[in-house]
Amino acid sequence: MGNFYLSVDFLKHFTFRAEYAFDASQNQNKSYIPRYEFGLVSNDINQMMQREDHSFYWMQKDYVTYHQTFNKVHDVTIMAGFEASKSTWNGTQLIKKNFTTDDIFVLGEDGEFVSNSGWKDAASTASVFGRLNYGFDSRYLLTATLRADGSSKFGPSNKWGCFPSAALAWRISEESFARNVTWLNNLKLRLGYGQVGNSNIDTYRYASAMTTMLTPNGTAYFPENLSNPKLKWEASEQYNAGIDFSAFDNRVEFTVDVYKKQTKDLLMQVFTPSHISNNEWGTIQNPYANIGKTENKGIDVQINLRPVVTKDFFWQSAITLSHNKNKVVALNDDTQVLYGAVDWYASFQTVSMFKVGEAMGVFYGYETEGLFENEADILSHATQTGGSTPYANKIDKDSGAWVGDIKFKDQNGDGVIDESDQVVIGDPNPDLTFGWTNTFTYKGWELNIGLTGVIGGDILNWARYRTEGLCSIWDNQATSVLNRAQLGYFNPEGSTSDISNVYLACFSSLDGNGNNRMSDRWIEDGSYLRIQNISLAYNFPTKWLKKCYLQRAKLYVNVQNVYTFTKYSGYDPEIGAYNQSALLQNIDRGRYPTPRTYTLGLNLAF
Amino acid sequence: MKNSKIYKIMGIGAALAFGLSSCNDFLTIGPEDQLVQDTYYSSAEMLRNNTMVLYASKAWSNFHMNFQWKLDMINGDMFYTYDAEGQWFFGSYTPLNTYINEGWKGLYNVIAFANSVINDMPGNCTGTVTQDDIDKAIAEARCVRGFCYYMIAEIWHDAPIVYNNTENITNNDIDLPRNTQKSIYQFALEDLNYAEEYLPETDTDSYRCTKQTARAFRAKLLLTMASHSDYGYDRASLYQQAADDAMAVMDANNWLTDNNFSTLFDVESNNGPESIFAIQCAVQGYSYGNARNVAWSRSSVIADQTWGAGKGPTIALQKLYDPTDKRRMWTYMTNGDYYPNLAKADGGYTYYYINRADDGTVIEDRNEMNAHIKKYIIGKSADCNGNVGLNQDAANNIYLMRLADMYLTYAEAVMGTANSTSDPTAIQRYNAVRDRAGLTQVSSITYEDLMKERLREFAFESQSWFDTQRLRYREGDQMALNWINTGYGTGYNRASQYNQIYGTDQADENKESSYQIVQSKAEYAQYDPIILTADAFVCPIPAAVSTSSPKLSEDPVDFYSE
Repeated sequence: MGNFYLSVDFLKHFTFRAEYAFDASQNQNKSYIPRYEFGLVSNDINQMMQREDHSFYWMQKDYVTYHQTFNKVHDVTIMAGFEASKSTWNGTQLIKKNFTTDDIFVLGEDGEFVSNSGWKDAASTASVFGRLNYGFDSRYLLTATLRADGSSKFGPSNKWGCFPSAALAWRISEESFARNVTWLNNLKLRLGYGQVGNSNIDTYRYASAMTTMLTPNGTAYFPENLSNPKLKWEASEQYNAGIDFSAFDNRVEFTVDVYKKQTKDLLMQVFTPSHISNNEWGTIQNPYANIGKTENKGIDVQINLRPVVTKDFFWQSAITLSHNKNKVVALNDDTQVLYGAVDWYASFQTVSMFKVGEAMGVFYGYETEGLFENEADILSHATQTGGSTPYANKIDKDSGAWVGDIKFKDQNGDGVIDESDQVVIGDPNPDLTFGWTNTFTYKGWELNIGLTGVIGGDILNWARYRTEGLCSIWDNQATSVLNRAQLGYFNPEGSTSDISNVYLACFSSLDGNGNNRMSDRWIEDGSYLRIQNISLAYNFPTKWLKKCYLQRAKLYVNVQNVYTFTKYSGYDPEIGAYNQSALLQNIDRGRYPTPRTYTLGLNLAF
Repeated sequence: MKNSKIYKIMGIGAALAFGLSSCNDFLTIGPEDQLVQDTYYSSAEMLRNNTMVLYASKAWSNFHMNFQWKLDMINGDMFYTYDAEGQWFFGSYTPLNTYINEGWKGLYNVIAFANSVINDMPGNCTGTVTQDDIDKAIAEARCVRGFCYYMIAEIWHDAPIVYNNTENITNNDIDLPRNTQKSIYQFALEDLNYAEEYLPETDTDSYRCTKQTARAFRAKLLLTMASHSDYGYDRASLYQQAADDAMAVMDANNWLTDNNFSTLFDVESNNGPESIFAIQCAVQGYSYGNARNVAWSRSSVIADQTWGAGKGPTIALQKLYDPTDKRRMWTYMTNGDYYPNLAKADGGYTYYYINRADDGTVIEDRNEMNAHIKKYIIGKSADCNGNVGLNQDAANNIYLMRLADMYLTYAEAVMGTANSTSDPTAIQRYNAVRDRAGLTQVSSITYEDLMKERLREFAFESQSWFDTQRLRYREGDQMALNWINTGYGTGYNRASQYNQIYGTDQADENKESSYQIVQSKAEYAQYDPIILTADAFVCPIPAAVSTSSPKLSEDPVDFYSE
């Protein structure tokens, strides 16, 4: 990996600069499954996988900058240039099994071939860009840019996208009437507009490559996806306005930005019902297309304060607040909805969606209405045990509904609980994210405390479906459901210690009532406040250090992820998006929580 | 001095211009590790490499791994009562049942491959490809597609006919209505007629569709259509055509008893004389092979990996077999059965209800059926020359159509709408199946005899649900419900189970007399009798699909009146 540049001032006011960067990586990955025997569970086949990945990336950027100030007040900078980059990658994976021994982890002659695969691909980008900066008397600032970006991921007629931007700033504090206001250090108003392109998709998605499928009769070929030669750049268009303010010797600083960003021609894979295509690996997938438009509106506030500045004691405090609201503005066909799903074996066939007018990736499912309390309750409730006859719940401990099962809300009042009763039951997008850091120093001591948090933002606690669903004989269950299965007695008067008189009163893994369907039962509030870090440091006094020939010595203790205040019942409310999909945000599949780390350190400078 | 500045500017300008002009070349990158569709279909061989997909395990994997044997559960042949899979045994599935979605995806996925051959291949052909090559490839695709639609019609009754996925997507025509079962039959029949016309009599690749495959599929479809008393068909004519097709297939193959039943479900019989159409399995990773060896096998004594301990043949199914029936021990295992090819390292495997180690600890416990499945179980990798992998991938193929079915289809077609037959040829064919099973010959058969023979022959091959559907089309819902709710007339409801008699000594735990069949909770069975209702005959449209395609919830339409 490396970066270097060359800069030449070849004429007065002109600078030429060339930048180069490259990154090469070689990875080797091995995994080994040994033979083992744990009691009744044994494995007689050992297997080893070895995978090698190689990649190379280079970037080159050349541009010329012209800078000149006219009449001391007109400050002009013009820049123009181009850049190009290319990544290439390739790899091989090999699997063998049935090795003679479990002690050698090298793919030698021993063992039997299972399968191998290999891949090689590349992507390139090229851009031409220009920028104009004009400043008048350091008070009025104008920046305008224009860039054309090209990408190898699009077909011959759509390789290039053109993205302009412009920004205006007014430094009020530089105006003559403001210069006399001694307490004011900086006051600046900003207005901006800009477009940014995105080409983040797989290679060759505009056309159709033939992919292979292993079969015992040879290698079979089929089209990987349907083609879409019209595929083009996605573009985000943003308007923003802001204020920078600082005063009282910069002891109070704040920045406020409001923005509205619309992303159009979203690059997404076309969604169809599974009888047309289900977009799974090993099937003929749908093409990628430029689908619809989303909108983000929000405000960001950053406040820096230095409330106490004395010779020995110093306190600095920084607060950030962000509020963002997003929604899907348009899809190709506005009646169409894109659904997100998790693993096939869950009864969660759709969990989230993209729908015009809704926020991105809202959770979609059934609304619960408490539990069945008695027989009459079950009989008078809309049918949710299957079939299309209204108000005809099957009462059966094993395969139907029973007291204690969950009632779902009949949204359309037709007496049957079916897919048309699903509604939006949660929004994974937070209302507010914030951070607050504080630094206190007293003589040689330094204390840092950082807090972060989120308000709003629902989480689908999918892990709980596994641990509280009482549905799979392969999953251990949480103690929170200990009271759900109780012993019953065939003869209530009879012996409670005679095993032939005992049965499990209401446990059925069949889930005939659909208790485990996608519902607000699994949706939790993801708000949290986290003490992100606390650190305490001591800087040894200089007079001691001189004796030890040291310039600086610092001893510190640091704790990361100290504590989280939250009502969320999973491991960690900070989830993020699954597979980087905006459609599958905040779905907790038992994500490994952020660890708490303790650091004790000593910094020495000689 | 001045000149050098100009040169510098010109130099930079030239560099910029060069950069721009070569940009489009620089930005054109085709796949280096894949062929592309535009140039792929350049020879007959390439077309055949494309149609090879239609037989591959991977293409069918959602169907054969996550759906197929649910049909054996809902018919009451396979006992298993846990989680969403168990809903099938209780006939209580809702549209949320994930396996319904898997079956739907699985069959339509194969249809998508077929549609790609039928619609997208011809226009892209180049090179040495002839019209004959194209017709033959389309015929293979239509043969497979026709049978997929037959299965869809039997499972979901009414479902959308997808015949050109590419057009659906380019026209954004993706919210399709369901088509009626009757029009799906018609569509499937047209596919199979085309296939029968254009496929060759034989193929050098034994796994590929030939005229015989098309005829066998068509015989099954015609037999099903003929069973319908409600569609105004000329039933006698349909039965006759079904019988003709079945006879043609039998004539083109060797006599049934030449094929040994005991090894039919092992790797050695892959694409052998019994096989008419089979999903092609191999040890090539997850979804590339047969998962039954893991999903159905009793324990790690006989398999490298296993979760089939809770599965077994229902008591009703067990009661159908005569003790002398040679198919029985190759269909399911029970007390005292000995299999030299399983657990070879221990000198073979003997089944006991409860199998204990020398110190008395239980190695294999019994299940409620006192029996486990044998069909398709080929054991450990070491027992079958490495034909079992680590990823639910065994190399024994999964039959969708085999020769014995033509023998019994013929008998059923000859019987037609009557309740019995003693037609000599029909009886001869029926007796061939019994002969191979080592059973006595008969001189006349009833429809019920035939249904029972089919159960014995095809148990756990996911055929019996389709048989029950034909019974239903002939005799109505109530007769079909009686059939599956009374254990095919044996009187043993599917919930019947074996309980060890209270107070049995450990020394007697492997004696048949230590167990009794119980049928209700009052008798300390786990479940009361499970009574399916007519709702169970039609599988609901999976929720995942109807959620995203609202038209599926509307009334089905006739495909041909559109």
